[in-house]
Amino acid sequence: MISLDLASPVPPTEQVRQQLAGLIRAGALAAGARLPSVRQLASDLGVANGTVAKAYKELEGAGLVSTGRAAGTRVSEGQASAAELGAGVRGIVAQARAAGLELDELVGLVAAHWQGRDA
Amino acid sequence: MSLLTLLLLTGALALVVGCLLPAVRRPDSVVRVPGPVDVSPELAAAWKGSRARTWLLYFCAPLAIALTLGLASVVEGANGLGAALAPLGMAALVCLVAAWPRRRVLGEGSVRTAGLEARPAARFGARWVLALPLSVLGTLVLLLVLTGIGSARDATDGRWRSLAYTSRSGIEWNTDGTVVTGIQEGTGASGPYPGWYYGLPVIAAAVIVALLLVLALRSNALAPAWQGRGAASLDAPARAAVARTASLLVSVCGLITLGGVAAMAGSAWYSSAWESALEVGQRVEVPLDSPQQLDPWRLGVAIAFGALGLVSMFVGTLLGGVLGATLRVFRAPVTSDGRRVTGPWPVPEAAAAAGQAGGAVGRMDPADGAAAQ
Repeated sequence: MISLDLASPVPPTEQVRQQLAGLIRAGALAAGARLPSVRQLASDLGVANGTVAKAYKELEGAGLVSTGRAAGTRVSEGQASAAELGAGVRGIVAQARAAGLELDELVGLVAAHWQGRDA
Repeated sequence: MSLLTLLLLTGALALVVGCLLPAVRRPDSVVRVPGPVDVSPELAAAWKGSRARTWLLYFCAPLAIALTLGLASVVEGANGLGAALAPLGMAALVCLVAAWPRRRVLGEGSVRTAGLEARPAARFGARWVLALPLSVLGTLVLLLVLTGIGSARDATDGRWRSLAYTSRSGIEWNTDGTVVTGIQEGTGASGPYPGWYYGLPVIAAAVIVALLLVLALRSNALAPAWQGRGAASLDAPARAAVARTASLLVSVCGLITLGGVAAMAGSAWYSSAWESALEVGQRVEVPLDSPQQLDPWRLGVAIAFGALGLVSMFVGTLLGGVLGATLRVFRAPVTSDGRRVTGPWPVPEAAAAAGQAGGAVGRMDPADGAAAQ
């Protein structure tokens, strides 16, 4: 499942692309798995078809997915470069929820550590 | 026993069998909501709306049949065309109701969520949701083409609704009518027969119903996902209920029409199968007495059509018995802020506690989403 924050300063296309790329690299979306159609995902998220289409196009450009007319958009082979992260992320999310953190706060904490600073 | 009585008895038996089938009674054979589930008030209203729409699909039956038969009665001399079209008229109305956009639930806040399981219109709800009705309608079209090719114009009104045939019916007698001197092939016609007069409108109706069903299933599968508290548990079951109900109703209508067409054809072939049992040179005691016998080939065709008719009606009514299982999903224990929306009364304790805590108790596991398909 992915989520889209319509109030976020991050553009919807980028939010979709980031989350799907993360899920693919973490192995949460297996190779060959079929992604929902552009129309389905756009309808569910309440955005224009072009927003999702652009995200899919960028994922395809990065080699993470491939698109066929009949086969739809599918996860490419060999993209789960960080499969072991999936379990770790789930653990962190569970801890954050238990501690009462909001998603933005958790993202901020991750960003601070990513940039090599203590929170 | 008349053909109609036989068909009705077959249907009644199938309904009883259908209701007793283990698949109907087994709870995991149908779409289900792992519950209890506590949902937002907005989603509760949408869930009740889905239940109402699914029930409305069933009530399309008497309405559509009444409309079709009423229209047919206005057209003089329709020769039962209305009755032939009534089931498919119902199916078309079912598809239109199923295609109607469902109530949107946006939830609170600015965050939207979406599952990543593809919802192909042809399979969402069940693998057979499109294949079954299209197979039935395709078989109906094939049968009507077959019977249409073999049809002839009726002698009274010129409509293509008779079965023309030749048989050993022209007996030539000696002067006192006691010895057969010759037997000629004679022509005849029996009816009513599902020729082009019935076939073309029913084929057109079947094609329209097939297109409407694809539209309805696509609309149902692509409807925006419900958002907010409890949405993950109810979204897929609500869609699956509509898809399965529409698919089963269209299949039932197609099978009833197929059964009627086959029975009509079988009856006409049976009537055409009678021919003289005399041989050239045979003597009869009563002058001009011509006993009849059944031509084995035409009788075989009649039996084949009749069997197809009975099997179609049986299976159609069996599916009708299965329909009731689909509605069970709306007996799931769903509450909103601790108050009952659907499900058993009194409210289960877990659901009441979830309502006080303000969270959903049951969420649909992704594996259940696959199981619902």
